[in-house]
Amino acid sequence: MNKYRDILRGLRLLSSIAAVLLMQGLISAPAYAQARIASLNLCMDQILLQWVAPERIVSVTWLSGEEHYRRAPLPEHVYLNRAQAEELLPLKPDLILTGQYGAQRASQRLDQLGLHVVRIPDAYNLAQLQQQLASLQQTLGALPELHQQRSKLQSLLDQAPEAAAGNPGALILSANNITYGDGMLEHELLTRAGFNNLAAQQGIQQLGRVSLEQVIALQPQLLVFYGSDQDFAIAHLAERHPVLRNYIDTGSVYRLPQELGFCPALAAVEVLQQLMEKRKEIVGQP
Amino acid sequence: MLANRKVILTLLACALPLAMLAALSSGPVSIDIPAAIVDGWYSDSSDAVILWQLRLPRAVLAILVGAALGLGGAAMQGMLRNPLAEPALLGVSSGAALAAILVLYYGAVSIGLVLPLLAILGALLAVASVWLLAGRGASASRLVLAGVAINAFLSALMALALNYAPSMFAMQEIVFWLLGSLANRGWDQVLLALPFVLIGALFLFFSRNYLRALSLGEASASSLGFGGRRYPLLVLFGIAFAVGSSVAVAGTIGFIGLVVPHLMRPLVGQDPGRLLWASALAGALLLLLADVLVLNTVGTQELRIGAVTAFIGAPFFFWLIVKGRREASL
Amino acid sequence: MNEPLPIHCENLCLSRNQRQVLDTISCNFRAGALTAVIGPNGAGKSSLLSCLAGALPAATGRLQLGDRAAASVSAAERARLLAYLPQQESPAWSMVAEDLVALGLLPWGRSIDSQHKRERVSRALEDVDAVSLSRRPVTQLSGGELRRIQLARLLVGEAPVLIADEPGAALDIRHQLQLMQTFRQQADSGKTVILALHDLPLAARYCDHIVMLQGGRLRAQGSPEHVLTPEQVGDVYGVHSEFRWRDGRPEFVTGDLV
Repeated sequence: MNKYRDILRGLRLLSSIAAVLLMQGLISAPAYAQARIASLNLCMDQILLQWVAPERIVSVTWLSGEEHYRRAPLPEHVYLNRAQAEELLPLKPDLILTGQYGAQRASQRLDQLGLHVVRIPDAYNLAQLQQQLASLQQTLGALPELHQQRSKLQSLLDQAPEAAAGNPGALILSANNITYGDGMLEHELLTRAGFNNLAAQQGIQQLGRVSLEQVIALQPQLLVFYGSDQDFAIAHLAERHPVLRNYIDTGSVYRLPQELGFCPALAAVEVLQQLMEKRKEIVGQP
Repeated sequence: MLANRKVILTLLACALPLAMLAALSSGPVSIDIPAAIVDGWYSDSSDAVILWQLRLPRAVLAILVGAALGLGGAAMQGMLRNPLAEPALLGVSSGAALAAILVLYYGAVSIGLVLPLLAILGALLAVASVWLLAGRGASASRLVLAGVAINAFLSALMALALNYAPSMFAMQEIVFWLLGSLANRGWDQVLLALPFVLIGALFLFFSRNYLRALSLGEASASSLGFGGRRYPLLVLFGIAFAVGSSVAVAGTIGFIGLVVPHLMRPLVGQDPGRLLWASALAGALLLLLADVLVLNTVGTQELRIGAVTAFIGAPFFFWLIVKGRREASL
Repeated sequence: MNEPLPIHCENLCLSRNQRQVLDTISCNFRAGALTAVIGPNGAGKSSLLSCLAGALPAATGRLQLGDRAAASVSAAERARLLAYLPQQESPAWSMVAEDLVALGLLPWGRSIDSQHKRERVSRALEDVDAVSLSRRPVTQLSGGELRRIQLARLLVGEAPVLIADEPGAALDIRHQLQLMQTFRQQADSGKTVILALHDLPLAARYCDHIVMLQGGRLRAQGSPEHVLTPEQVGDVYGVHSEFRWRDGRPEFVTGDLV
């Protein structure tokens, strides 16, 4: 009898522990909350470096070590991998994050070798971005910044989009005269912020080219540059053309941060907020 | 014969403003040109801005760069006494481009005078190397050998620059730079190149009689009063200024310097002095027409002008070889 | 401009590629005289002529043009005083003959108007019996024809000093004689004419003065009779020869090898 009681007590204890663990898991911390994490994807790198405690990060890709992409300080102990399975094995990470594309072979190999590889979908539009954030939260647990970002995005998107007809026109002029048309995240951000994306109006799907002549002819009220103009001379030559000086002088320009291109999760919310403010400025003008 | 030549040269001179008109009316946006002209320089109407601030500087730059390349090619052929000499073929453009790339990616992005000056220095070093390596009056084979050697070395340096490019985008940039382009250029670029091209042209103007005398050979030229190092240096600096500054604003645009002097030489009675101006004129016309062609067929962004001139130039080179074999003069 | 301009050189020395090509040469080239510079291959004839013409710079010694030191004469002025035709001159471009001849007027620049230039060119072409070649591209000419055009280029400037290196080498006998007569006339009109010659009979027949070089040194100078002695010719060239007068004209004949 005593034996059974002990067993029952043990079971109860176990179940309560399990319940506590389960509760914890459901509420905040999943199984990998305290785990050592590695990343095979530049965007995942940046998310980890910005939102996860440094001691939990084992390895990020070498690209994150490049001046060009670095957005957060890089802790010294973090190993810079080149997406080779051999590099990550000895580090014995508990969790390996990878993107939808790239490093396929390494992630498959690591998966076969019994490591825990999680593929986080890429985000090319707002819906995908929400999915991405959700799947990140599922995998990493409720990190405060991640949670904040998610709810901010949700609340921004919940706001009714501004009137479409009288919306000011905006046009993205990115490196090498590339512009973003229908179906791109950048287009959605512009539209959500209450702008008419003139490139999409011109029938441009996804990416297209826009010459300076077209920029002048379309007369956008907001000219949107993309990324830093410091690094590349020719790609951003159009931006420095004197013909655009008027836009720059009157402040009718906005510069999308470069990380929006490779990791929208980090920047989309901020960009959307700023674009909305920019719109208020423009519409507020007589 | 003499009258014919003059007629052709006059036609070329008349064709330039026509090509200019064609260039001004070519572009992705259709504009009302007469209205834009009436609106004038300071107008804010988009047609006027497109005409005065976008198309006109682009056309002027095409003329400037084409003239500089034609001039550089004619001077180089005259100085090396060889019809195969060409700035892009013999590494002069590569020298300028390499210097430009180094400035753009590894130095400060200080636009302004640094870029053209360094491009000119790069061009100068390259043309001087070819000159020293081949020697004046070198045979065609030795000249091409020297040019290939210099070009190979510069390509190696360029590969190194590509290899250690700060990012993948920088690599793409370098490649685009090497293809040459007139897109997105404005008056600022024209003004950047113009003084140096003019200085180069002035240098070459003062060396025109040297080039004439040199068609008799070095010894005869020096007995005609063109001895010493002064004149070769004048030509070298002239080429470097003209070609270097064009590369600084438009990247490397090849073959203009080869094709144009060849076509013009019979029209000026093989006179290396008059060839300079005829080549400048025809170079300007050729590049402007190539640009009009690009604008009206494939659009400005997809195809770089350097690729077009290469397509004009490479078959021309084939033709030269075939012709040379037939005449057994090469 | 057309004043007689004798040339005088004293202790002229010149090294090329660590080899002494001219060794303390002192000689005179009189105005109004036809002077031949002779000597076997490698004796330094071409070097001496280039040196006089200013095509080879940096020689030590003294070179006088008239009563002025050559070093004090600017390159442009020197080019107007001395016309020079090197041993080999191949045109780089296929210009027509008269354009090549006109290059000889480059040192005068714009100081001669184009009408006058054309007259000078056609006169020079007449002098070398090449009027019929005037519109032919020079690359289509035979060696002798080209040489005559080049001679016209030498003459066209009417410089007081004419220096020509082997001017008759590619010419047939008729044109050789014609050429020597042209130079003779030029000398008689008061010019200083200096020719490097291999053809000793021609030198003996037409020249007033002969400078004989051997191994970069001056072997002898003076009248043909004085220089072209059987002893000296035998010594320098290793050939038997005879210098004689026939009908009052000098005649030089070569014989067997020594």
